[in-house]
Amino acid sequence: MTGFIVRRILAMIPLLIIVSIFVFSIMQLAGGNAALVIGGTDATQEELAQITERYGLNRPMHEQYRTWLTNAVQGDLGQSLLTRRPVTEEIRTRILPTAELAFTAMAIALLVGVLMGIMSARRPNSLIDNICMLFSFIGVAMPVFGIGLALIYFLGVHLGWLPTGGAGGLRYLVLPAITLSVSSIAILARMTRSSTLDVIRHDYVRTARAKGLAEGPVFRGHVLRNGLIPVITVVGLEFGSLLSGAVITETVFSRPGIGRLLVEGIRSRDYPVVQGVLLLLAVVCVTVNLIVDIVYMLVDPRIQGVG
Amino acid sequence: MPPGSALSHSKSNSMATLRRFLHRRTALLGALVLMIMVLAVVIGPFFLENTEGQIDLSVSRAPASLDHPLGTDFLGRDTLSRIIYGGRISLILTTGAVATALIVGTTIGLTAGYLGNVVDMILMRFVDMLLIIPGFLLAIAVVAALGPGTYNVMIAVGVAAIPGFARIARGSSLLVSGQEYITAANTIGASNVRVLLRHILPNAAQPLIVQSTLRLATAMLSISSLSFLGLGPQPPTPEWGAMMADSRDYFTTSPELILYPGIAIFIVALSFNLIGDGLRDALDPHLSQS
Repeated sequence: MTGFIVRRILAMIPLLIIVSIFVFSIMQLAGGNAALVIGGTDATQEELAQITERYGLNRPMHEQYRTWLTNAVQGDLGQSLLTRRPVTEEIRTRILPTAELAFTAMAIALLVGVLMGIMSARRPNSLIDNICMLFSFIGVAMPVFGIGLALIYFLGVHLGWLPTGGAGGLRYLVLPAITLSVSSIAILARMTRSSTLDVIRHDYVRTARAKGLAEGPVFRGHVLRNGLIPVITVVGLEFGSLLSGAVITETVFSRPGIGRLLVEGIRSRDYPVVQGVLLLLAVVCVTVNLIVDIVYMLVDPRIQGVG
Repeated sequence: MPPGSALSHSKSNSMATLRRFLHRRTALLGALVLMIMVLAVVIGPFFLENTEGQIDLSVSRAPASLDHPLGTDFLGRDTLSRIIYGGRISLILTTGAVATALIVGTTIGLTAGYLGNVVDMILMRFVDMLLIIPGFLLAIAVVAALGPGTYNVMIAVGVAAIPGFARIARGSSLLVSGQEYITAANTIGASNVRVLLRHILPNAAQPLIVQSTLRLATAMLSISSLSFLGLGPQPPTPEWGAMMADSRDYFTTSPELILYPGIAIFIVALSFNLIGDGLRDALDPHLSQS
């Protein structure tokens, strides 16, 4: 058990190194001349020389990478080219709205998606099943920003029930969280339905029924306990999708989170900010993946330390 | 067994596949709708008198009329023409992205599965790592590196979809790599490339086709999302996602300017999904009931 966890944590290291090399090279790929990127096109020769000296841009690439990584690990992600504030500071002030949004959307998706999947699987091809599956078909084909704009139009502008943008209390969270959760609801519902239906066909379910167990206990004790295991993996993957979906949702709802910080950073070529946010999001995804693997092993003892 | 039997067997197989596909009404509906959309986008421009970029402020945000069946946008440009021209761009970018992912991903996957050992381990470790990062985030990272732009968005979404294709191709490749006819092909001196293309690729074709169709839907959504964020084609290029972003300022008074391209994206993505699901069921009847 501990061995497995240690091995999984060690396996994260190469991934994080690759991610960091990629994130580091964004500036080199994009800028061509990094000094020009930092100093701006109107910088004088003298200023460029100063920047080159200060950031060590004339040193070999692997040395630059090492310095950058050492600083990043210690929480120094450089300075925003736009505001001249430390990137860590920019991220810190923007992380809460994103975290709120992602966790709320995940909670909604889990509750509604899994419930829909279970209801569908209990009565396959019934009216409820068909409605749920129709919804999940529509849900995965709708662009996130389209859902957001529709909700803003009807609930925000037309009915005036909820604020259409910004951040603050719970009222500001409702529309973005619903918007973000739709596609995850759809995916979770389909996944729950199909894995539950798979389990129902197993012999031990037939045995449970044959020995006279009522349908309720059979479903709760035998079908759901096993049927929901694959759902855990999907939850892990969906959390990553929610984070990247937050980039869109935050832009639609003018929510001051790190997703919007990222988009604005790319548009204004503020590379240190872009690097910082991407690095953070990648680390979060990798960590969530690790947690999911561990949880998976805890709930399904058949998987012992594989991988 | 007569020499022709293998061929006729595979022919009847594909007939059965087609029959199963046609039996699924939803898949058929998807194919039909998509065909109409593609046709409209390809031949539509020949029937349009207004070119999509023609600005006429005197008819700014005009309602639907005979001249402008879907009305005009804030610059007086004909909405229908813009949706049709925008559809060209959206569909080209989507197909281009998936084609990139299909070609690169399949090459990686087949090679890894066929050569095995160290090559397999290195390539697949890399692919598995990339699979942990959500596709859309990967696409954003690539756009960040390449900078915003029409074709950069296509490349970004394509690159992000490579790992999925590589996984599937490797699976199919592994399945047949140990079989006798591959050994036989090797023995009679067929080159690795020939074995990969002639003997292994056909076995991977079915799952790859299904994956491509389903990927087209996600690629369409990713590309329009990136465009909506302002990272894709820049105005005045009429791409569906970009059109929706352009019209945001007139959102409360002219919601239809956002609605029409939104519906277009939805319909195409839904069609790709319906066709993909239908194909999966048709090609693999064992899986169909779930």
